[in-house]
Amino acid sequence: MNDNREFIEEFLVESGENLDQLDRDLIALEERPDDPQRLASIFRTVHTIKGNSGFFGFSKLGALTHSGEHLLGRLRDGKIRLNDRVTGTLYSMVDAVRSIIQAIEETGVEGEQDFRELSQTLTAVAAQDEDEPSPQSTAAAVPVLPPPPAVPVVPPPADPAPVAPTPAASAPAADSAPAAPAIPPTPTTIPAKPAAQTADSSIRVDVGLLASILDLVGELVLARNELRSIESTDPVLEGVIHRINTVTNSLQEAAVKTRMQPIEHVFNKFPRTVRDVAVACGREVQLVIDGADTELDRTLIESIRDPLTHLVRNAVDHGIEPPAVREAKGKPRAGRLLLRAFHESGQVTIEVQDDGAGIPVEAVRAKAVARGLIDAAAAALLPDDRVLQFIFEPGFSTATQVTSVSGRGVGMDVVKTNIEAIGGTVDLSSRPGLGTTVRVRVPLTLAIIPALVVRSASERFALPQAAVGELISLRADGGPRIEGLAGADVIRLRGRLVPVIFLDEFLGLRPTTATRENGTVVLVRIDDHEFGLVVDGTQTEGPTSDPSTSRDRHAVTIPEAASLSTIVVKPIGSLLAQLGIYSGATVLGDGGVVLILDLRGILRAVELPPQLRRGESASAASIAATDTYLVCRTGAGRRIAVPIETVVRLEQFDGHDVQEVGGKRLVRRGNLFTPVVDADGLLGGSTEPDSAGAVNLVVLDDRCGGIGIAVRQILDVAVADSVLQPSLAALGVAGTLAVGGIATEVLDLAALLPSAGFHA
Amino acid sequence: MAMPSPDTRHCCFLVGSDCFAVASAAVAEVLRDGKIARVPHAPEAVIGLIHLRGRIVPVIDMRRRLGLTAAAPSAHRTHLVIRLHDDWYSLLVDEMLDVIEVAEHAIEHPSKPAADTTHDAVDGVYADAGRLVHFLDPQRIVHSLSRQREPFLQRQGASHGGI
Repeated sequence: MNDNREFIEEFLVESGENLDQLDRDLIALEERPDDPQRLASIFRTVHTIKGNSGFFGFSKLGALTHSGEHLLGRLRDGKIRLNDRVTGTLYSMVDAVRSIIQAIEETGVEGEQDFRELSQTLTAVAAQDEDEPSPQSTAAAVPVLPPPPAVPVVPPPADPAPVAPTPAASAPAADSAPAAPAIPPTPTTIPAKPAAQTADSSIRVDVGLLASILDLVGELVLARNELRSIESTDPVLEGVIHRINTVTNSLQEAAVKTRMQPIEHVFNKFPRTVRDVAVACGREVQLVIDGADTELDRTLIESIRDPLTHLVRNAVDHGIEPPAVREAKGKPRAGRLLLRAFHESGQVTIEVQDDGAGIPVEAVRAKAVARGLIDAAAAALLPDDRVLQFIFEPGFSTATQVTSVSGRGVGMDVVKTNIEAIGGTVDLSSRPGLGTTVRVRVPLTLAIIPALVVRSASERFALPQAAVGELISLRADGGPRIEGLAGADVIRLRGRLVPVIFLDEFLGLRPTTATRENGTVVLVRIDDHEFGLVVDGTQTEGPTSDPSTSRDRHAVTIPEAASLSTIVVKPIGSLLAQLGIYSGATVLGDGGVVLILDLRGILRAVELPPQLRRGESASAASIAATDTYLVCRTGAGRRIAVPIETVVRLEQFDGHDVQEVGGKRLVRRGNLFTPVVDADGLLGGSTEPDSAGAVNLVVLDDRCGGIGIAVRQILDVAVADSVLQPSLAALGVAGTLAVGGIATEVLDLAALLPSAGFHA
Repeated sequence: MAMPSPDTRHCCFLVGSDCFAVASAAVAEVLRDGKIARVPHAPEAVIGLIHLRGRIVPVIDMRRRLGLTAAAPSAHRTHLVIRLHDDWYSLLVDEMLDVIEVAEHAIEHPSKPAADTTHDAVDGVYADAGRLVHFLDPQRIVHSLSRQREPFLQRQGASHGGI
C-alpha cells in the first residue's frame, strides 16, 4: 500500500481538480443543455474518477461514479433530456464524490457514509425519463445494466499523467452504452485536447521544494548585492559581476513566477457557489468572470479565497433582488454578478460587482448613529459614500437592524481585516437601485519586494516602495520645510498640508525634536492616508542611478540619487512581529540586518488625530482636493475650519511681537509684516488680545489679503466628511460641515475680511 | 515542567556570576558575538537582530533578561541560538561553559515557578561539582518578554495625543 500512496495522493489532487471542472461544466451545461462538447467533458471527467477509484479499490466511489456515468451516458446519447431533477442529482453526485475524496484524504479510507440511495436515484433518474417519448426509446429493456466494468480501462498507474489516456479510453466505453447513440457524430468528435496539453507541459512539484528554491534564490540575491558593492577596477571581475547580476535577476524573476498562480484557482469555485446560493435564496444570477488568468502569489490566493467567497455570497444573497422584484423594477430577471481581476500598478485588483438593489444608505446612517460611531448632526452631513464605509466597522451589521432591512455587509469587517492582513485594501461603492461594487486590492507577492532604504539616527530601515509616494528634501535655505505647531507638524505640498512623523522620535532613537532643517520627508500613502515620514536621508545602494531618470516628475527635489533595492522579506519572529510596527527584516548587500517598517502599523501607533484615522475607510475617489480644511480652535473655544488652499503657512510667535499700527495689529517676521486678525473677532465675538504667551497664526494667501488669523490652537488638517451646509450659516461663517465626525464652522473669508478692515 | 526528551545533555553557560543551562536538544547553534541590529521599541532584553544563514534571529541579552546590569562587551560573549517551535532566538550569554549530562531525577524542581525576572524561567537546579546549575525553560525565557510591550503603545499615545 505504501507504494500506492504516491499514486493515491496524485489521484486525490487530480480528483479535486476534476471536481472543480465538473462544477463548471455542469453550470455551463445548464445554460446550454445541448452542448455536446460540455457533456462529453463531464462524461470524461466522471469516467476518469471511476476508473481510478476502481484501480485503487475505492468501491463506494466506483459504484457512485458508475451510476453517474450511466446517467451521463444516457444524457449524452439523447435518451433523456436535461432538466432540474437531472442536474440536481448530478450536483448531489459531485458533492458525494467530493466528500468521499475528502474522507480518503483525511483518513485513507472511504468513510462510513452510505451513498447507495444516491446511486439508486441516479439510476432511477436515468431510467425514468425513458417512459417519456424519446426519439429512440427502443432500448427500454437494457437500461439498468451499465457499461462494462471500470477496471479494464484504468490507465496505467505509473503514468504520471493519467488524465491524458483516460479520455481516449472513454470513447469506447461510451460506445458500449446500451443503445446506439442518438447523435452519433458529436461525441466522437471530441478530442481530449485541453487535458493532454496540460499533462504534457506541466509537472507537479512539491510546494515545500518551491519554497526552499525561493529561499535559496533570496540568499543568492543577497550575495549578489554584496558582490555589487565591491569596488573594483578589474575589468574581468566587473564582467563576471555583471553577468552574475543579470542571471540572478532572471533567476529571481523566474523563481517568483513559480509562486504565481492564476486567480482562476479561486474563481473556479464561484460558479458553483453562486449557483448554490442563488438556488437557496431563489435568485437568478448570471455570473460573468473576467481576468481569471491574472496571476498572484499562491500564498495570497489562499488568503483571498475566503474573503472573496464571502463577498460573492453576499452579492447574491443580499445584493441581487429576487426575480419578481427585479422585473417589477424593470430589470432583467437574472441579476448580473461580475467578477473581475486585473493587474494595476503592481497590485492585483479584484472587483465583485452586482446590479442589485444597492445598500440602503439611510439604514446604515441610522445604525452608525445608533451605535455611537458618529453624532447625529455630523452623520446628517456625511455624504453617502462615506456613510457606506461604516459597513466595515467590526460587528456593524451582524445585528438585526441592517441585515433585516436589506442586509448587506455581514462580516465585512472580517473581510477587511483579512485583506488588510496581507497588505491589501477593500473599498466599496454602491448606488441605490443600481448595485454594489466591492473592490479588493492585494499585492502581487509578499516575498521579494522593492523597498526604499532610509537612514534615521544612524540606523537604517526599509520602507516598502508600494507605499512611498515621493521624496522631499528639507533645506534650511528656503524650499519646503516643516511647519509645526503644538504637536501637529505638517509639510506643505502643492497646496496641501500633510502631517509628518519624525521617524527617529517615533522610534525613540532621539529624545526630542530639535528644529529639523535638514533631512528628507518620505511621503507615504497608506490606504487613503497620506503622511510624511521624516528621515535623515536615503540609502543609495548598488550602482547609482541617474538622477534625471529616477526623479519623480512631481517631487520637489530628490535629495540623493535614491535607488530602490529589491529586498527579501524575512520574518522577525512572533516576539517582535507583535510590536506591530515592523513587517519583517531583510539583509542588505553589506550584510547588515535592516528592519522593514510596517507603515500601516506606524500610522496606527502614532495616534494620528481620530479625524484622520476615520478617513481610513474612506474612498480616495470621493475626496476632492478642495474638501481639505485646516481645523483650529479659537480663543473662545469655537471650532473653525479654513479651506486649506487658502493657507500659506502656519506661524507661532510670542504675543509681545504683535505691534499696533494705525489701529491694525501686525506681526513682523523678517522684513515681512503680516496683519493679524483674531478669529473670534471675525466671528463677531469679543476679542481679547492676549498680549502674553504664544499665539498661533494661520497666514492666508494674497486672495485673502495675506492676513494672519490668530487662533488658540491648530487642531488638524482633515478632509471634510460632508458637503458645506450653508443653511447653518451665522455671522462670519460660510456654513457648517462635518470634519472628523464633528460639526465645524467654516470661515466665510470673502465676507469677513472687508468687514474686518482688509481688502480681500 | 520536566524535559520530555530522554536527552539528558544540557549546555551550561555563565551569566553574571551564575551558571545556567538549557537542554541541548533546544540548541541550534553557538555563535561568536557579532554585529547586532537594533530594534527600537522591542522589549528591553531584546537587544536586536542577527542574521544567521538566511534567518533573522532576535537576540535576547540574558543579563538583562535575568535582571542583571548590562556588562561591557567581552571576548567571551556568545550567542546560544535556540529553537522554539518555528521561531529561533539567540541567547546572548557571558561565556559558554561545558555540556553536562544530568539524569532527570537528579534535577530539583521548584515547587512553583518564581515570579521575578531572575528566576521565573528557572525550571530546576542541580548541584554539580561545587557549582549550582540553574536549568532554564526556553519557553519561559521568551514568554514573559512578549508581555512587555504595552509601555510602548502608551508612550506613543501620550506623546501624540491631545490634538
